[in-house]
Amino acid sequence: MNLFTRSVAEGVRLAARHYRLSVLLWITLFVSSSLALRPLSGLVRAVDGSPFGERLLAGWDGDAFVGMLAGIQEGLGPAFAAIPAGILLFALLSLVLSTGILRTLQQGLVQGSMRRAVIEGVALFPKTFGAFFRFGVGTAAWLLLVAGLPAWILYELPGKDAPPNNGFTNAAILWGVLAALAVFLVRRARFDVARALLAQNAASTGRGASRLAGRRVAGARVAAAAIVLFWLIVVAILQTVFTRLGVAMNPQTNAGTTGLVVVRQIGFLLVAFAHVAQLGSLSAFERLRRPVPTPLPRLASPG
Amino acid sequence: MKTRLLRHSIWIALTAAAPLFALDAPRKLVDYDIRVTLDPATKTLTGAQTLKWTNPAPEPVSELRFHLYWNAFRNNRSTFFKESGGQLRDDQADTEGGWGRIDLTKVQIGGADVLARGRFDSPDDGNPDDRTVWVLPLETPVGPGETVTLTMDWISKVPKVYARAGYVRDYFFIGQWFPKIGVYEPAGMRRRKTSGWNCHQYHANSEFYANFGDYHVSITVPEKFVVASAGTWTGETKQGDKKTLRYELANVHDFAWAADPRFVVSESVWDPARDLPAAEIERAARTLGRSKEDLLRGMRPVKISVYGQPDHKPQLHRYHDAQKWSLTWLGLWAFPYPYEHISIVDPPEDGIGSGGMEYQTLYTGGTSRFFNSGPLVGMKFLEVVTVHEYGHGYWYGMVASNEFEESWMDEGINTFTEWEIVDRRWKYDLEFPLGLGFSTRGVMVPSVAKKQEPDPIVQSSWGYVSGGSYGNNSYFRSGAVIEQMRRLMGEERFFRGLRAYAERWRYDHPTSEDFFDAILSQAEEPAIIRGLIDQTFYGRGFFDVRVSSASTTRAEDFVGFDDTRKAVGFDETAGKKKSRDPDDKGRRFVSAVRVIRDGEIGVPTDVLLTFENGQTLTRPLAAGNRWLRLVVESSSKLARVEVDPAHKLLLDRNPMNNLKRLEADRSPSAARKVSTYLKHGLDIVLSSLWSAF
Repeated sequence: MNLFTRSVAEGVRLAARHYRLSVLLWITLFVSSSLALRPLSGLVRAVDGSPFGERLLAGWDGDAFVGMLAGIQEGLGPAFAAIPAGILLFALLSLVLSTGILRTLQQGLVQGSMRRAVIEGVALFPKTFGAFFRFGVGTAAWLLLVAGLPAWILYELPGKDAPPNNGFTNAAILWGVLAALAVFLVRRARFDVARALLAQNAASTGRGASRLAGRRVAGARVAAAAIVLFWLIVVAILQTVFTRLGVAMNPQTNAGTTGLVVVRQIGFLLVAFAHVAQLGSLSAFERLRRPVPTPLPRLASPG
Repeated sequence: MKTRLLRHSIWIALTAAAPLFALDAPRKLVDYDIRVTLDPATKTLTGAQTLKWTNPAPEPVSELRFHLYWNAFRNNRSTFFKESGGQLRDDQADTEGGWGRIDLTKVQIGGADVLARGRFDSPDDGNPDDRTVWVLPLETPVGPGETVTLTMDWISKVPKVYARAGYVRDYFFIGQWFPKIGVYEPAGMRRRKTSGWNCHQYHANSEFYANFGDYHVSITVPEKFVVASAGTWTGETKQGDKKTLRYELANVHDFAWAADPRFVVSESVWDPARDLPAAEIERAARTLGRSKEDLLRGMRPVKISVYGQPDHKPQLHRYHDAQKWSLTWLGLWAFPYPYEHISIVDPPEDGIGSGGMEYQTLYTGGTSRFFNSGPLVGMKFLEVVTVHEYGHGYWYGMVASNEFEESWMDEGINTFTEWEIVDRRWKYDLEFPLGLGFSTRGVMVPSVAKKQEPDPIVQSSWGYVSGGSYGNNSYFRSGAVIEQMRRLMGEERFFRGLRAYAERWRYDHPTSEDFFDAILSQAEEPAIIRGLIDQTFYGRGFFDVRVSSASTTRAEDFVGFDDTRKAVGFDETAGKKKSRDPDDKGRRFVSAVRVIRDGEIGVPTDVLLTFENGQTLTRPLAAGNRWLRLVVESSSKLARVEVDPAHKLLLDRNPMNNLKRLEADRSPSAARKVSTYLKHGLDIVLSSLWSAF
């Protein structure tokens, strides 16, 4: 088994063993989105007293949906304002828990793992945030340098009088997308490794962890990026399958709606599992990339 | 002299007043023979034309009036520029080097130079700097029915693409480009009281109006250019590295063309024998009350030429597809397209300012390479613009309304037919994965119904308070009101009215009232439709029908003495009321409902009461009544009350108050379902963040 497959297999094993951590993540998701949508759900209740209710119950009806939105238009502004707040809350919780989850995975604790992940995550948060800051700034800089700048040069190269969508602009778009993806995959892998290093106290600051992570990833960037890409694809498949399933269910009774909630949340639980597995995979990657201590030179025996 | 008088009398009788019959061909009052040369390097047109104009009025005409449209782009003092502020339809004017103009260099009548006699006029706003209307006083007036011949030379600087015409790089869209005579309207035409010129300045929001006639056009361009023309190609000659293309076009009131060396030409033929779906013919025949033979009379194959950009090649088939369906629908429901070809110009993305512009036999579309394939392929902007611009060929082109003075007659009727054509074929013009989608009609109508407009719909195009009001009234509000008429009148009556309007005013110049007359002639209750017209086209009225209150309580049992003086429901000796049947058998309920209509527009509707046992009761709320109060005794509790159960009241300002559910209503909750899907949407967004960091 190579570095990629060993890391991924170890990640899956860890996530399965610590399935409670996936549940913990799923709870943060469920709570955050429920809070964020509370005002909007309150507004939407009015649809039951409108002619659009039955049409929406029958299935997707774009005209009825817009008609409903127009009917509750006055309240939409404040209701939508709660959504960014919910997203921010969720992002913060995810960041806090990520390092806690990594430490729990590394320590092998199964019982009380949810509580442990929260406690450790909170304790490590300042360092995690430092690493996140470097991830954000570094990624933005690399995106500009590797993806944005060459794409801009390609775009501008033919000059003002060139027709739109010429070979250069097409190449600029292609380069921009592919280079941005490559930068993201490598930077994301490095951030995960940095968090794994923080979780095992291998670095005392976020900055130190990032630098050390850079050394771990160097020389195995393709494998590291492949791990992130693999989990990205897994998540995309899960989201697609469960979204299609949810839409196909199209419940027309209250019981059916409850069934939809259950089925769809199973999908999100699996996505949470994939996230834990990704963290586990990059943690395993870090362990496998750790330099082997150089053996002490054998002393020549006297005589 | 006698013969001349007799000829004039016949001419006046035939043309002066609005005829009471439909025309099989337009009355031709103009004949243009134009020779033009395009110099792409200097962006100039050098043109010469021979114009024959016939006086349609019973009196002599002592001056001629011309549109010099491109002088709108001459400088920032023009009325067009002042009104638009240099920005129109999301397109910004190039105020550095993009100015355009048209200058007459020679005008002759009978060999005599008359250019110096001319002057500019600004009949709409008195702007002394506007140069878009040129007046030529005549030494000898043109008598009734007489034809005057003018030769005119001019030089134009093509503007940078901005509003409906211009150039970008080597792409040229040449519309409203030649000195074009205005319309002399005799008394009676378009309900005018006195004869006079109808020749307005070029305004930011106005489009055009002209007489029908024939065009003979020769276009000289460098050899490498591909020319898209409104006319039929009749020949070509070459001189060195240039070529001259000749075109003929009869029975139209304008001529446009485009040139670009990068055009990719794609052609097809719409053949009614092959491309008319039998089901659509059947539907149209049934609804319009016509025989199939009658509907198909005049249908002929039409050659479709798409002049596309190379980067839009994967989408060019969509132009053909949308064009064919439009030929089908409008051909069946209005009247058959009478010309033998239609040209579609696909502008480059940096020349989109010329997109979405229409002439009878040529129009511009518009799309983006991002719609070639991939997730955005369901965005049917190309189809919508194709259907819309082709539709103009009917509601401004052949049914030649005056867009200066009644812009809604083109834009509004066309918006209505666009919605119908798109809805019938694609349902949603914004299609997303998973079967989700939206229609323009669905998106626009609720906002139109909700918004209190500052202007009535009928207005000169520059008379609206803002560009937004012009757009909303001319397009969406009028489209929505026409849709409201349809729902109130029913399919058959409405479409018969629309067909009557189209057929009567084909090749003629209608007014708003002509459209209303045609529709009202088919209405079962014309007063209701007239009320809607008065409150929307000439007013700012609205309506909101709502369930004000609804309740259901157990009916009180009979208590007291009956007619035989017997005590019922109480014990006379004990002086006590009798207790109720513990099983509640034979119980009765009293339900009270109040429905109120707010606003000035009186529309009839139904009120539907649904009871717990499934029984229903429908009562009408007449157009003349502002409220309905119902008290109903029944064996079952009232579960729900709904006004407008057939969803006919499209313009109801607040449909959210049209239904009231009571305790006995146990139907499933749509709100719960919608909230669940909204939550799942947000869950997807949030859980995707795990992949980001």
